[in-house]
Amino acid sequence: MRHVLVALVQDEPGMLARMGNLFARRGYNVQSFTAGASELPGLTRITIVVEGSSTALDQIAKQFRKLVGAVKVADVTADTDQLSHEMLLVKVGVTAKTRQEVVSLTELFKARIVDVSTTTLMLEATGEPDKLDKFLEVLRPFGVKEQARTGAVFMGRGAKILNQRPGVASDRKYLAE
Amino acid sequence: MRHTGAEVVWECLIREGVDVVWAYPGGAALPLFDALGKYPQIHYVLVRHEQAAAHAADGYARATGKVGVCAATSGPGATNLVTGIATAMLDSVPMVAITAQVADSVIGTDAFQEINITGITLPITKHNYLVRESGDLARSLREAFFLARTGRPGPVLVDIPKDILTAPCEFHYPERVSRPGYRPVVRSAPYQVQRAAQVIADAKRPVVLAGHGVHVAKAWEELQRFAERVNAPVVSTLLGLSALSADHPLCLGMAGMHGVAWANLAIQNADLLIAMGMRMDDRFTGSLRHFAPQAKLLHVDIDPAEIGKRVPAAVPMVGDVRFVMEALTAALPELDHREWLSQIDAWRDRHPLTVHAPGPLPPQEVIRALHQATGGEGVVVSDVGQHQMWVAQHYRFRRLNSFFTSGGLGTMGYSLPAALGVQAGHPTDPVWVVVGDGSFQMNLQELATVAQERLPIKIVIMDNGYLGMVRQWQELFHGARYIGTPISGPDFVQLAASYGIPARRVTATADLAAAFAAARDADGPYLLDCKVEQDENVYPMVQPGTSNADFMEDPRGRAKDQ
Repeated sequence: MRHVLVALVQDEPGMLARMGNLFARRGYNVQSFTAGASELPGLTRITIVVEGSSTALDQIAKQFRKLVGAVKVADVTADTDQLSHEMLLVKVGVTAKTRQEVVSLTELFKARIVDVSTTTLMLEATGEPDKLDKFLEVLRPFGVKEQARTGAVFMGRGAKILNQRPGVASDRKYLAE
Repeated sequence: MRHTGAEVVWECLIREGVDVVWAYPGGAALPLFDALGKYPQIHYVLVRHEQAAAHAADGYARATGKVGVCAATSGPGATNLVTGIATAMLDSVPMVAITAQVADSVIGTDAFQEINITGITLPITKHNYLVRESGDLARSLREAFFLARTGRPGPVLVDIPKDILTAPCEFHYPERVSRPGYRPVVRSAPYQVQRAAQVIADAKRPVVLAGHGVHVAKAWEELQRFAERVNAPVVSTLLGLSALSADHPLCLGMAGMHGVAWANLAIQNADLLIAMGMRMDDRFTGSLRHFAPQAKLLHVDIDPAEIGKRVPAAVPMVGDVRFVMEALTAALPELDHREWLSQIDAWRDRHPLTVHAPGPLPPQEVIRALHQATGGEGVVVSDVGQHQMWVAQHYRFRRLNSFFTSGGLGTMGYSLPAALGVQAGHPTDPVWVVVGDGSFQMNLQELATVAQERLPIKIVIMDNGYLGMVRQWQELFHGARYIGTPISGPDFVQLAASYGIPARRVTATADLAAAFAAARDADGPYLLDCKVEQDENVYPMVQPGTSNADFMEDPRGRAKDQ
């Protein structure tokens, strides 16, 4: 099944390699990996989406938590009350005949046209990864020349914040935090 | 006061209480060794191969609980440390490995003797550092020692470019380490202690499993008091041997693939396993499907990732086993498991360890002679293979934390170099090395270091002309096709003599006592080349994939004596 880990890690050399090593060693296929500055100085927020069994993922999450430099690791797979958003850039081939149709679809999906040429349109869309999948699906007949996706980032709704929640799900029952 | 980077390295080590370093110099490391001249309080041991430096630091750390330090130059010096670092990683040994690196300006250009050692050691260190600025040097070393010894210990590597070693460097040793997110849990919560105590009080057939964590936590007394309070037998992992004196009535010895029968039977029939600082290694559990089918697991470890990794834990507890056992002992009344213990005694009587080899010198007799010569109070370092299992079975460790071997990685060639460090930790005791002729030849160059340092290391070679454990598997599982396992060697007695180390050859059981007495009573090092039975197998043995209750016993039947 699909799992989502969200982490805060110290921004220092080698951190990316250490994280990559954890997944590579167990032959995990990482669907997406995003990294960017968090609200805390010196801490990078990482979002990793992987496919795999729950027990294996639990072990990886624990190993992740053990990395020196990992400040917070949370398995948010089971969280229902959260947003997951991703950004997509896609270059679609168009002709004089099809251009208007692509423009309508763009509006329908609340996407934006960010670049125009005589034979292509570049579109930008954000939203749930599923929505982006659907958008790409309807664009495909026109000819998707190039696509780039950022990978999803996740954030819980409401006043709760990541840095205050307990870490790995299976640790919660015996780690006094 | 202004220092060079190299001086800062030694200043940091002195602040950490380091007084001995095993190392090997080289081009990029030159400034480091040059500065050592100013620090006579640090004893520098020149080994003959960097791998030995790492094993020596490892042996020192295991024997003392302090962080062991090794150092090497860039490139091949650093890569030669790798096996030793991995050995320490698998066995949770606190170590700081310092490597010199090519100058910062040429890193990444494949310069002479440049290797990305932080990349290479990423999966085999607890953490590592490449110091890119002089200002980070002292902090990196401070953190390295802190990380190596706290929580679940492990090796930390610090890679220092040559120009940082030579450049002027402000020395300020940080008082505190700030690593947000790094908070090993030492004391378990009171409600967890209560819950665990209840589970223990309810058990009818409890078994305590003592792992390396008992040594790491220096929890020997706590283990004994805890086991006595629960009145539960104590089974050891390979690295948990000598956590409780073998003379103690509750001490059962080692379980697992070559564990003693009664220890395996105790586990297989237990209703509660109380695991203390051990990680359910596959050589210990055998087939997980068959492991301890009736038992609940109460698993205590300082590393949360070990709990539930291989065997689900009904009662997981994260914490330092010393505090946990102390708390549990206080929370429990005196329990009584007389019947259970007498059941185990009956298994011990029915399935004793046997010595049934036909030749003039059964290997097990060598270990028994070692036990006799030392009264079970020896400090023993064993290598990896059949002889290691015979030590685990036949040497009855009466002295606490007196057995050192490569468990997790199973590193052949470990024992002689590790003994250099164990000896430094036990300067007044002779250190006994038990090693096969194969393992010995992997690092025999360290005889020179033994001679150079005039260490009273006693080397017992179990010389059977085979890579014995592999030969045993070939016999049992590969149609007795002995391909690549017969191994020749030099005349070990003459070899020792050429290093100025006295030695003698032993070919019969009758000669063992005199030979061991000579080795023990010699002032300095000594070597015994014991020509043991070639085709002997280690029994009992649990075949891979089967239950630990279905051990193979020696087909030649029970021996005359036990």
